[in-house]
Amino acid sequence: MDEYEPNIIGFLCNWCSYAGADLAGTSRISYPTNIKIIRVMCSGRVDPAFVLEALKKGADGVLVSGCHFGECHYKSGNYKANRRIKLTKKFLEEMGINPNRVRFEFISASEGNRFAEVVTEFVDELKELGPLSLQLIQ
Amino acid sequence: MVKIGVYVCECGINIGATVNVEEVAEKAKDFPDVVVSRYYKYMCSDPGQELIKQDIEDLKLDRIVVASCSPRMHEPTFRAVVEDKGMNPYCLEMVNIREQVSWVHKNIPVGTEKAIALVRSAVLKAALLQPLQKKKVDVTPTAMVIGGGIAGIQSAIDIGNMGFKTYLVEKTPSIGGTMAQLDKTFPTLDCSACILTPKMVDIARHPNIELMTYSEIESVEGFIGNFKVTVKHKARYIDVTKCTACGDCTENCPVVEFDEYNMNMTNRKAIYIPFPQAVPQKYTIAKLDEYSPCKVTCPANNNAQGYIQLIGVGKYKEALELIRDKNPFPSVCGRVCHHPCEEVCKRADIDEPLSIMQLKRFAADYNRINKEDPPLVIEPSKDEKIAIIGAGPSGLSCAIRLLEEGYSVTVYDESDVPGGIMTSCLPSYRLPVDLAMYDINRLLDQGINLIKNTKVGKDISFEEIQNQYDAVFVGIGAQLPAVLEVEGSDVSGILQGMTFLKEAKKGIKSPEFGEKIIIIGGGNVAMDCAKVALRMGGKEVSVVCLETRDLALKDRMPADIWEIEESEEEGIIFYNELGPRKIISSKGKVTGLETMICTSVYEEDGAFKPEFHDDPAPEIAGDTIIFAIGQKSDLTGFEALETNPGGRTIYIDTITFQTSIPSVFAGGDIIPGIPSVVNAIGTGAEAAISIDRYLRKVDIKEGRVRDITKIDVVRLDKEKRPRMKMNRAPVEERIKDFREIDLGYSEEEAVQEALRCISCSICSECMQCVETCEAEAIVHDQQHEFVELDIGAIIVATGFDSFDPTTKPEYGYGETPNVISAMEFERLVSASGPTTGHIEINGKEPENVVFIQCVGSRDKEGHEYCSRVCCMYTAKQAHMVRDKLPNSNLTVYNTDVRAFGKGFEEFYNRVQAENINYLRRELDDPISVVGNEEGVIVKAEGHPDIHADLVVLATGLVPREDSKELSRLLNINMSADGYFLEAHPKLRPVDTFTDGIFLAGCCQSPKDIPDTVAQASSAASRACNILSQKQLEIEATVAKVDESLCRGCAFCVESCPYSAIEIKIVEQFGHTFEVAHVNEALCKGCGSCSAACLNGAIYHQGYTDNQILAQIQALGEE
Repeated sequence: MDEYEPNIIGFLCNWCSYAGADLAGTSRISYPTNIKIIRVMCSGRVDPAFVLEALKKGADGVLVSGCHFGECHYKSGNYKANRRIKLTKKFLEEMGINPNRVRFEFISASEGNRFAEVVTEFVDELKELGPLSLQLIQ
Repeated sequence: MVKIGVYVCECGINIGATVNVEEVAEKAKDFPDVVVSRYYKYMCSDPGQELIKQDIEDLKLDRIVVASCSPRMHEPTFRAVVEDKGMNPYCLEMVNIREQVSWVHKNIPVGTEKAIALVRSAVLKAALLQPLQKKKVDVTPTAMVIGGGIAGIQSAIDIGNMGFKTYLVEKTPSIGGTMAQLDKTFPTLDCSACILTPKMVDIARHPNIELMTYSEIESVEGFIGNFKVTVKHKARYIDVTKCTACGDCTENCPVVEFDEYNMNMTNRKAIYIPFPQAVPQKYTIAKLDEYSPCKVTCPANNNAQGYIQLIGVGKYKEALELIRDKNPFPSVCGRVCHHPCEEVCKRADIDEPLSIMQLKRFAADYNRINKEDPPLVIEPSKDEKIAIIGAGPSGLSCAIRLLEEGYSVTVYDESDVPGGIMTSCLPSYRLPVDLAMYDINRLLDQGINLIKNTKVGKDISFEEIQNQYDAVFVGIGAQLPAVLEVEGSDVSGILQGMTFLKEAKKGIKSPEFGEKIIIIGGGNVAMDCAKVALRMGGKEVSVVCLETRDLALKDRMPADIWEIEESEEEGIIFYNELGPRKIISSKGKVTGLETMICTSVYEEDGAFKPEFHDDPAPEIAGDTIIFAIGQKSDLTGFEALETNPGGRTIYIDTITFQTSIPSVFAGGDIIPGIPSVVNAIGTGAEAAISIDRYLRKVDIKEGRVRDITKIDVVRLDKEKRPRMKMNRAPVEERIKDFREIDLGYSEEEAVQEALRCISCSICSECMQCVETCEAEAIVHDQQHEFVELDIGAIIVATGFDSFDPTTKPEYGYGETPNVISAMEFERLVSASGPTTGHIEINGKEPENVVFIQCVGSRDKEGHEYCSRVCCMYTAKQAHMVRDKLPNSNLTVYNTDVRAFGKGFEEFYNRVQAENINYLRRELDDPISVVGNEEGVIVKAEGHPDIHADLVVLATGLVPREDSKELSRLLNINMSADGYFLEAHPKLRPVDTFTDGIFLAGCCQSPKDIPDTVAQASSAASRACNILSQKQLEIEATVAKVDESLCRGCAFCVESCPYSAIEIKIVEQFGHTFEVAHVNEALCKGCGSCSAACLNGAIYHQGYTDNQILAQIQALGEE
């Protein structure tokens, strides 16, 4: 059997993290293919419902990434995202889902290598956790 | 039903190499609503665009999905394409299969699979896209140029000439940048300064340019046409409107710093102008935001760094004046201070701390002996009268500060000699009475009234004092011995430490004092008692204390280390970790002490709680026991004042030193704290500030709690030089009488010691500049200013750093003075440089000069790129040597001479013909420069060794150290080499990915001056494209409210960072409702409100819940 490959949905803010992911490409830094990116204007746009929906619809992990604190293009969206994701993780834990399946990161437009590192790390971590089965909670 | 067209770009092989675009296009045909799906080699090219346009027309497409490069690259292109055919530009969705797929994944099957998944997600979203109308916003017709080198100067002048207001922000005190440091420029050999300085002057005079030097970008918000930039205008500590650049201040500044303009080859002062032609012609004081540890650690806030610097330049009178500014007892504190400043002195990180106390003593003694210290009589100018109770250090410190404020001050003291412990207790071998009296009398001579032999509470009541005076300071000290009850102490031969010291000071010897003396206690008073006992004729003196001798432990002896060491030196015997159990006596006279073993003294929180155990402990023989276990205050008569729990100290407010009676203040040893002279001085001075404010009826607390950050890192790498040794009286001599132990520094020793100071905070605030500046332009308490500016376009022109050759030890840089960097050579050869243009090394003209190229460039392990300018500047520098030293032997080690520019090859040929030996070597071949007695030997593989007396390294250009920080602030990208990234390497070489921000000069990549100037003009022109438009179209992806769903909870209002949402009242079906309303002009389209809305009533157009959920569905399912 092929090795288990986790499916990751990433929500990246347009100004920092999406640009950082682009930079990884421009710099030709390779990383696992497991991540598929949805571009949002700001990490503050990420509704906790998106995270839950992603897990429900088949993702094994969700990455939300925004600008570093103090550098949000929209002043404070990353602070909000940080709080919302923390809460979401708590909720997941209550529901019996390992909260490490959701990850919040700060990746700036100049941190292409950081983006690749985060994805690589996250894939390894999710492989460790194995596929997400929602049978338990249904 | 929508009709979707899918277009997959191959991007030559950029995408095609790892994504099977044909397969992607084929699969896309099966996705819902897809009418047509195609792939093409270059979708962004004209034929590619035509393909899309034709389909829109023929197939009546109303949604387009383009899978190509990042939308950050070509979204505007494809939006224009669909718009051209009458489609709404927001009905386009892009899929990033280049930057985020083909360039990062190396395997065709997985790359293709991922591309298909992403296209499917985009198709599902596209079906839900809605047409949107673009917004128009006004453009602020103002530019900002960051960086004042030649690039920034050129850009600013160009934009200014176009008629737009331009701010030129420069980090250092002057514009000019690297070009101002160069001697000549290649290949024309123009004098760099001659062509640059006129442009610098143009900047200063330009009506449209506002120059902001010594300023940095603090934050950037907003977007193209409407940035809000906050600039931090660093304090120069100079009022620039008054400074006439006369330079008198520099002459008088004692602080010597390396001169960055001359590549640290010469020195400058802490107050300086960077170079003679600097623009603006204004001085700057280099002063760090953090404080020198010595200064802020001093309880009296004495400016040690300041007076040490003044002693270093022989300004002893000024040094003493600066000391007296905060400490009226320099003779005393120069001898008995517990000097916490020395504990924190950063020189200790290099070798040893400065001998600060002894330097203070030197300043006091020198001026006293030379009679350069006459007191200045102060006549009270105010009506209020203040009483000070106690003429000790705290009382007199408070008194002199109040007298200086113009108050009439009267000091009451119970004894006939003022000075408190300074004159009554402190042993004369440490502080002779006449020296203490010198400081005290000087204060009294200034105009303080002293009423002696009057004990408040006995001779006059405290109440009476309060009635007679407008405010009172109580500083009666702690001079009563604390008594310890020990079994058997009702015998003769028992003395109390404080009483013993006081009597000894007067020359009185108690008849109970014998020959074998036991001191009980481990603090400084115990040490004093021991040493005094020795000098009073004690044959054997022992100290018994609970605490341990290991001063690193929590149970350490409280005495200062030098006190302990001196005692040990003098033969005093220590019995540590023992407590007194019982006094042994015979016939009513002490014969010894029975002890018990102490296992612990202090609890973890520092509370005194000794514990003992019963094991046998030594018995110490002795005929006299002196208790020196502490002292307390005599608070009789002061019952009206509230005390702290325990009743030993007076309750005060710890900031203002105000007691429970508002007009009464207290300080010194009667308040909680470590008893010490300098603490007492500090508390007295602080209380004086409170009293003044109290009498002026202003807030006595305001602004008195400062946020103090101490300097933690030593700035300079200094050679080791331990502290100057203090001459001391020999042990065998000094124990015979009360002569001083420390003999003080000679003038020369003091200066040498003072010169060890590393001036942590740079400017020492010695205030000499204030004294000299006739224009009164010095403002030492100036604050950094923050200015918020509205900016339409930004040009980044921050330049480069030079490669640091110390990271390549093979070149011997830093090891031998004969090896210098290219920038150092520029200064060396410049007429305004350290040698006024004479090429000399160690004062000698070099005969053999070797240039080594590619230092730090073209290095696969470091900076892989070519720095582009080194070949030509080396040719220029070789020519300069040939010109100035015609008989020298010149060698250039090079790999490939890259003479690519206009006139470069011709210049290179000319230089080669000047008998300059160009030797080729491979970059990877070993090369080394080794110093010897005569100079250096340059060993390069394949070439004979060369003896040289000067080696110039062609150091490359590297990105600015802080460019990462700036890239974050501006939200612009950096390429892998660390330079700022242009939006397209060919077609948008000065744009960044953030609209409205442009690049000029070496911050983008290394380049020479002509290229820099050309790029600067180009960036200026790009900026003017924006500034010249009245309005710009900006994103239509703003938030919108579905009023039928909104419940008026205002969660969105709270979450909006731009206050773009408000609650309004609407009427529906005859009822009124509160609903949210978005002001589209203010909304920037972040979508935060949409995430906060529980009902899904407010939605982010272009990124609605439904659209994103469709993407999630697609990506989750695969």
